[in-house]
Amino acid sequence: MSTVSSGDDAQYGASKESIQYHYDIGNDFLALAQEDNRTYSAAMWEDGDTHEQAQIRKLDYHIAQIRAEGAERILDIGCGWGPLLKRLVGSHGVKHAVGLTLSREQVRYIEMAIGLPQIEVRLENWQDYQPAEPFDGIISLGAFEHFAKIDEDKVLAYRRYFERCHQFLKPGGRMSLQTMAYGDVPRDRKHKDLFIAREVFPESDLPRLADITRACEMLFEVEYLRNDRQDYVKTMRAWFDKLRQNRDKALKLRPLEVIERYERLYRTMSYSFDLGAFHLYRITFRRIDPNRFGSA
Amino acid sequence: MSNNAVSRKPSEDINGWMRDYLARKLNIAPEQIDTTESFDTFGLDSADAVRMIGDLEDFLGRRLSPSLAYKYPTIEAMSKYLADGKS
Repeated sequence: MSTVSSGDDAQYGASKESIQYHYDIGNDFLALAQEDNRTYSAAMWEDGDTHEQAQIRKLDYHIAQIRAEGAERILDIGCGWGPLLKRLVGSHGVKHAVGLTLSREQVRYIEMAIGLPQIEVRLENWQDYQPAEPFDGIISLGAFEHFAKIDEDKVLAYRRYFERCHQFLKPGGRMSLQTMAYGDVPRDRKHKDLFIAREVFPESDLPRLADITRACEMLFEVEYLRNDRQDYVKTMRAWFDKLRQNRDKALKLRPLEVIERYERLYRTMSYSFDLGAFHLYRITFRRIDPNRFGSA
Repeated sequence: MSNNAVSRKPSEDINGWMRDYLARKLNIAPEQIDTTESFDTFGLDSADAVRMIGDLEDFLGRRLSPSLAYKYPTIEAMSKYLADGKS
């Protein structure tokens, strides 16, 4: 079987401008939907959890999957407002945590509101990042959705991502990835129906499980895989409920039509996960290193 | 999921709301909407259907299942089901 090569050095995935379209609507505005730690990806819920508890459970899950406890260097690709970076260095003894983001607001927030010396946050694409030293592990939560545009060859774009992550890691290092994906949506569904790309995240589109596993062949083995789509039903609902509870405050920051767009996004996406049109994958990968003739 | 204490609207109210909603969407008079016709005959796709369920949540003041429009595919069937306080 042939492997896929990513070829040239063109930029894949969403541009800085597109990322900023969604995430730089304003720290204060999105905070009205989020829990206190501002974790902007699906939580991991158990009965009786508050949203805060479920988000911490999710962070700790990924940290455990890559064996990050006490590690020297951990990379967070698409670090958002930094809750994972904070958890890594604050509760799990990680000595140096690097976060990559394309959102200026997020960099500013991490530097101002978290401001821990063990955390390094960079306004940089993973395609351009050249670390001085390799990492013990990588975590990426809710960023993979931005790594391929709707009209490009997704397997090639994802391949490029896995190649970079392979280079970022020490031999045998692990990566824990959390991403939305298409579930029972036909591959030939017309783009106009895919409101994700149209309205919510320009230049982004969801992956399919088969494309992810195809793209990582000969670079990473899949150690563990879960589809926790019900976790996103609850998380999207939690954002929706909180934003609506905060309607008066929201109206002071943004016009009604913008607030309604975000409310519609959260509620409609909770429906999509509920129906199985979208899945929520948590995938643990381990870097493949040659160990026999013909294995790499 | 439901919170029946918030709102318990009679079938006719729900029926009327859905009729008005579809009429607005299709740009026709509410009287022209046949409440026994299935939603897809009005050209409603799955994205339109879940959007309608969301707006219906706001009207009823309680959470609804996104598969309602598929399980109860006419205004008649859905308003009757929802009038019982179900979600």
